[in-house]
Amino acid sequence: MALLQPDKACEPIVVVRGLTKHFLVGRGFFRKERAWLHAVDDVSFEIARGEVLGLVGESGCGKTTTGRMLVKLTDPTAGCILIDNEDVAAIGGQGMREFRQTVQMIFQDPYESLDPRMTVFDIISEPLNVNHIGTLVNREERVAYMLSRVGITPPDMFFFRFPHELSGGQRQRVAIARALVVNPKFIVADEPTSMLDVSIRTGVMKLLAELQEDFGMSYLYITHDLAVARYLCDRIAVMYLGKIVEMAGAEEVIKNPLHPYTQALISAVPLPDPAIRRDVPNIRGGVSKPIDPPPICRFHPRCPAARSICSDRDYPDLAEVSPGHLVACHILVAR
Amino acid sequence: MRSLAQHWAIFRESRIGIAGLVVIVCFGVFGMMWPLMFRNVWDPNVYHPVVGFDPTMMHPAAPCRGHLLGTDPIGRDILAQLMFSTGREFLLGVLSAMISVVVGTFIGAMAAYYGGFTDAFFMRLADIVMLFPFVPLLVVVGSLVRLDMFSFAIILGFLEAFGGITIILKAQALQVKVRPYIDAAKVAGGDDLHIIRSHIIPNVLPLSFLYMMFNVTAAILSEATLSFFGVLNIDMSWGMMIHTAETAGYLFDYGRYWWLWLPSGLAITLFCAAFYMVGRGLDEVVNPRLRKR
Amino acid sequence: MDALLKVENFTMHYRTTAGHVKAVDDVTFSLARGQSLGLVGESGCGKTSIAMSIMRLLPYNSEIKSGRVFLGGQDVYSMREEDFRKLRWKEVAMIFQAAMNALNPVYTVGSQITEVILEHEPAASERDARERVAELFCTVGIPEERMDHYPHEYSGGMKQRAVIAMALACSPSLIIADEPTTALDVIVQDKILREMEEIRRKTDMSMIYISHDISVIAEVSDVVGVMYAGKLVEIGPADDIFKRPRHPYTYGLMNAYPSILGEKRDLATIPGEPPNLVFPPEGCRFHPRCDWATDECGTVEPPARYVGPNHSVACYNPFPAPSSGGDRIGVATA
Repeated sequence: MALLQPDKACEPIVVVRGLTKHFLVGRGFFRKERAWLHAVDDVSFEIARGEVLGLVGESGCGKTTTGRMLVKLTDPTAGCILIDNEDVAAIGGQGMREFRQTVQMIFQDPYESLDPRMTVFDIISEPLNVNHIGTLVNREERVAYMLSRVGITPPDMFFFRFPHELSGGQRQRVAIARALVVNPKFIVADEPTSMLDVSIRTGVMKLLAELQEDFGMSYLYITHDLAVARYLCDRIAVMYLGKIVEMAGAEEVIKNPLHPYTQALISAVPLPDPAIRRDVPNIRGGVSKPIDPPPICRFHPRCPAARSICSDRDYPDLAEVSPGHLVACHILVAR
Repeated sequence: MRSLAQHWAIFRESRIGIAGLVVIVCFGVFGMMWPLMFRNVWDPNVYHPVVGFDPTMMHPAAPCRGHLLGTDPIGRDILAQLMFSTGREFLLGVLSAMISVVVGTFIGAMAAYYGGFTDAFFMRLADIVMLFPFVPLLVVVGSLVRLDMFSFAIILGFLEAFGGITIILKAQALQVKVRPYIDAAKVAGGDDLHIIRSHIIPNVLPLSFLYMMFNVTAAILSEATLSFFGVLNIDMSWGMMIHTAETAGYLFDYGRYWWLWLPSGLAITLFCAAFYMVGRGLDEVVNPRLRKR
Repeated sequence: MDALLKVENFTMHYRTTAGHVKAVDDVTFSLARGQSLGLVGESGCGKTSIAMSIMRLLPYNSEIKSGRVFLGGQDVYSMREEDFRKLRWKEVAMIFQAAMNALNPVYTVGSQITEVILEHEPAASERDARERVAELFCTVGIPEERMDHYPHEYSGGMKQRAVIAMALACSPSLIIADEPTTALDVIVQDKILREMEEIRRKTDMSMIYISHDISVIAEVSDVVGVMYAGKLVEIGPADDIFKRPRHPYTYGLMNAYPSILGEKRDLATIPGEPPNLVFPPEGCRFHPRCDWATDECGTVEPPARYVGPNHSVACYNPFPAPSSGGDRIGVATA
């Protein structure tokens, strides 16, 4: 965590309060009732300047939707997002231009997130181009600098290449350069390494960590892989069916998980050591979709520790059980 | 995605596409020979395609040394007519296809990107245009206003544009719209116009180009049909040549006066087939699944 | 030990417009009955090609340059096509990479598996077959009543189980599972891997697991084979390999990925990118990316050499055995 500006150091770059997204599903022609998928439900968190927050969960838990709302690709149903003290929902016009320079996103699939008909130079200079930043010469310098920063050298050799002429790792590096070219303060990274091969992946992960240090940015790092989150993130938030169930420092979540879901998730991660026999994850049943869920703990049907209070009370709020360690569980909080 | 050179390499593999291209080039050369012949070789009074007349023989004259493809019932040289018309057929086909594809691509991209009312409006319009029978409609239009080649090309282009091509290109644009690089462009700060212009249209363009080839074929055939009915204000075209043979009563004469209708009929067929074949060749470039591996 | 599967000096190329892709090069290994082999490597390293070679399901543009495959003592490629077709599913079955799409959407899951049984056991009646499917569903943990449901009514994990049930249908002696859990979430992956291992232990079946994830391989394999650019660079007992990898690439793979085990540590990067297999590097295919490469590595391909019981490595300078003092691994992390 470097480069904190003294006056702003204390206030977080991202504040999310009660963020909610419901998608309309199954409104058939013959069906009267509408059903809502509660993709993200009443999610609140903060990201400090220079901090990396990992958002971890299984597919369909709402982590990508959360990320998309933060970059204004999806509009929230309810709740508020403040980025750099600006209310994201109220941004428009000139403010939008500034917002796009403050917040950027790196996408999962480097084969799909680069326009196949554009050259590397066009791709990376696009954010400068559409926001009318700098002259052509400035842009060329900036793009060359970014390319060398993401490890694509010599930069001018790559200016007029097309994405199909690059390898997967190089493409993701180009995508990173595009996100960083406007000097953003906050980046949403949506599983940027999950499509890459193992020997390439490490290099990209290290690059992300290095750039974060050097540029003093904050990340929301979305991943399904706890080990990656542990390596890259300062704090980890675990999501289950649209709710954050646990949030704490990265090491704390890995070494001392409290929520039964986090515990199950961690015990299910395969380990690269045949000598270790893991316990069977303590979890029942399978994941369902949160379609019009009752307002009770969403994990309790699968929870090994569930008691009557779990189905009697409204869903548990995140509460601090030890300094910096938040859990949404009636049983743990009552203890 | 591949570069232009690679596209060409794939296209070259397609025999049908190359055959079509060769035929088109031959027509091009044939058409370009007209001004040379007319100015330098042929006597303008005799060989003019519309007002020429050869007083030395009876008409229609069978092919002979002076008239390699014979003359028509009013004494005009068939070969000169054929050559003269080639350039105009190119103009008609390419102009109407260009209009249809440019307009169709733009509307398709808009309809796909905005959805909602824009989409519904243009799709219903396309349904109407497609359901409405073209040829009878144009016969009626042609009898109300005298259509020359140029205005005919424009009308044809717009009718095609608002018809089926919009639906096809919209379907393609819809596939492009959901690709992550569109999201990436939005996050970069691109507005709607930028995304449509810089991302959606370039990625729909290969398919547009393919349909352009098929539209050339459609335009030439429509012109031939309407000229045959004599509703177009066109002094000379391949369709007109058949029309002339027909109105003078030579068309259904058991092939005795074959030089009146066979050269123009063959030209229409070959020309349309050539563009269709190039389209088929391009199809293999655009749709990788069709490719011989 | 009686080897169920033997692959000897197998070399296979794909003909493409760009040239011959040397996808599998001189691969030799064998697998005993009841054993599980884990093949690990990155995409394009030839692990799926080996599986397809064993299944005799290679595409039309493939060309077997040399080598043989023996299954239960029979030479797979000297058999007649029809004879081998009878062995498929009965002797060797495969769980494909895109298992989710391996089920036909217009038939019920039960009927698809019944069909496989009836095709290979003409003596069985339809009722026997359905009973067998019910048993199989029970084995893989799908409720019996789901037999008459269509694939779209199944969740991802359930489809995967159905595909496993289909592979088990004719009780083969070898199942090849190509990335069986790659598309699944960790909790479901864990359950399915446990179930597959349990079935293997109960039935004394052999398994080949193919995965890019070295942790998954560590959990389910008795023997581990590491592939790089079409070569089997290291193969040996899982315990040995994970305790002390001998090949620099194996070492790189193990240290390139973060783990939730132990203390947080720095990651070792493997420089560069996997080679284009139309023009693989001279000598050892890994040498351009190898920190320990010598001149010899760049000229002559290193042969596979035994460095321990059943443990062979294709490297001129393998890491020393755990007992000897020289610790070059320390150099790598520094």
